[in-house]
Amino acid sequence: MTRRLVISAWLGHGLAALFFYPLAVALSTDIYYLQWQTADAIETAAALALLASPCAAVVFWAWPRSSRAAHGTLALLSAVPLASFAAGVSRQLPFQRTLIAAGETGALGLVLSAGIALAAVLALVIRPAAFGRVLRRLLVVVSPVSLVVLTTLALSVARTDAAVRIDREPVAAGMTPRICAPVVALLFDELSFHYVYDRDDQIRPELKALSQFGSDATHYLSVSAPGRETLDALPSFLAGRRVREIEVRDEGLMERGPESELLSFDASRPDGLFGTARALGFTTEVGGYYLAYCDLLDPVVDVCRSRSFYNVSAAGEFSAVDPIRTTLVLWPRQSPFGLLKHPAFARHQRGMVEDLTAFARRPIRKQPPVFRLVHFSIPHLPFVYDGDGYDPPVDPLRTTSDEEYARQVRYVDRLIGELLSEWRRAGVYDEATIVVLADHGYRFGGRERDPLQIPFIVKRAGQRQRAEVRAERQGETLLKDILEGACRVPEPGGAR
Amino acid sequence: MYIRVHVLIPVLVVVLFLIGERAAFAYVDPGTGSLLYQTALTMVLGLGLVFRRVRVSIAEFVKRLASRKR
Repeated sequence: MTRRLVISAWLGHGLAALFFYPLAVALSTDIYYLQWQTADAIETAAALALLASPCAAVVFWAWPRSSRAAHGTLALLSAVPLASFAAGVSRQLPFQRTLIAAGETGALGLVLSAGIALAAVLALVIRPAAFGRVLRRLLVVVSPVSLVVLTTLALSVARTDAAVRIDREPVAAGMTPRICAPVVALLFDELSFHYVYDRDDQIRPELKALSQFGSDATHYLSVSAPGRETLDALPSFLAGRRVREIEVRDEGLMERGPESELLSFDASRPDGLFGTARALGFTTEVGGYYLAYCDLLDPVVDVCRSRSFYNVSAAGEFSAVDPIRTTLVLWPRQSPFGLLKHPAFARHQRGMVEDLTAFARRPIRKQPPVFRLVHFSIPHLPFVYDGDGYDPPVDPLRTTSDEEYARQVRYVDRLIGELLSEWRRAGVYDEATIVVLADHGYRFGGRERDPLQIPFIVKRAGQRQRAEVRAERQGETLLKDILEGACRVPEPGGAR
Repeated sequence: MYIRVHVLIPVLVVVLFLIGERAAFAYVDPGTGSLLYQTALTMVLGLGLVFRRVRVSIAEFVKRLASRKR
């Protein structure tokens, strides 16, 4: 009995730990992207304990039994943890790119998984004893991998220092007395110029909120993105200059220096976007996903919210389900993995959008004026929205057609409309400078003609007319110029 | 038939999961890292739990290492 108990407890915790193997792999090498917190590690430990108990109970019941039902139950229990373990291993293989290319054949995964399921069922029916023996041996062989998972999880606690939330009283740091209008920049990840504008450089009629916004705004029609991907583009926006190349290390972002050396990337310099805002006397607010914004801008922001693209846990909310969802998000996208990954990833996208929308909706301060940058995770995939709201398709990561992307662009339009209406109702719309921009264009073809051309629309305080600027500009310097342009030196005698 | 089924299932499982991998089409695929060595090592330990011959080999290997140090 004692032996049976020990085996059950060992295999129960082993199966639970195997499920979290992809998370352990991500923690060991890409912890920056997870914006990992001590609370996340505690959540994972709780989730592991929660999963281990029922697993141990099932193993306890099935282990000594030789019936088909016992073997089948053990196989069903093991299927997801073993699949998760295999997914984590496959990510680390040196020939991963070849596997990815092979896996592009959509039906292959389904046919193979159906074939394997059939083979397992046949083996269970025809040779139950052999099936049970092989399965038990397999479980024992892989069970010590749990030690790797637990060790990685324990070590991750020492590496959790990424700030994900900042709320502090505004610091007045204006270099000279200025009068500034509030500035709100809404940056939409992967919003394509060519999905916003038609061939005559008019906003597409189906994007009604953007059309209305654009009717009294300035359209910068030749703005180049600082990079083809967020990792390259966003640091340039934050630095207010073009950053050559960004690399992610455990300790944070590194940029390529003039002699190709790697230097620590500093987004909080006085000449950066937020350093400039501080110097002009703005209160500074940033909300975004993907980059560790609060860590990057800690010295120069008053309010910050930062979300990971991969870690679904949100600051201040304890849930043992979150690490399970994070692990599913880290799974490969193809069938059969996608069946569980897609709903988890879709829900995570909705969570990020809701959080960032709530952040964007915060009251717009006029005194001292606010500079707020919000980096939305849409219309970037997963594609889960259409013009009417949250409506995820079966495969929200599908890029073979641009249909899902175009649907999500329509939601971006709706979201902009809702935000603008709210600011109109609050009486701050006219007095604020509002910028709608993107970090780069759509990367998967469709209508896209140049992923480095980005939409950049600016409604300045008091602006009543549409204007167009066709001169070539760089997005990162233009945004800083707009910020500086929202301020003026007061006239002598105190007149405003 | 016994050996075929015995071998076929694990082989097919491995093939499925390896061939099935596909890009997430996000910016990075977290986890393209290196827990492989630790994982492989612990699985050797697991083999030792199952197969007596492997257990004996591991023990002999450790003994040889210890005698070399002396």
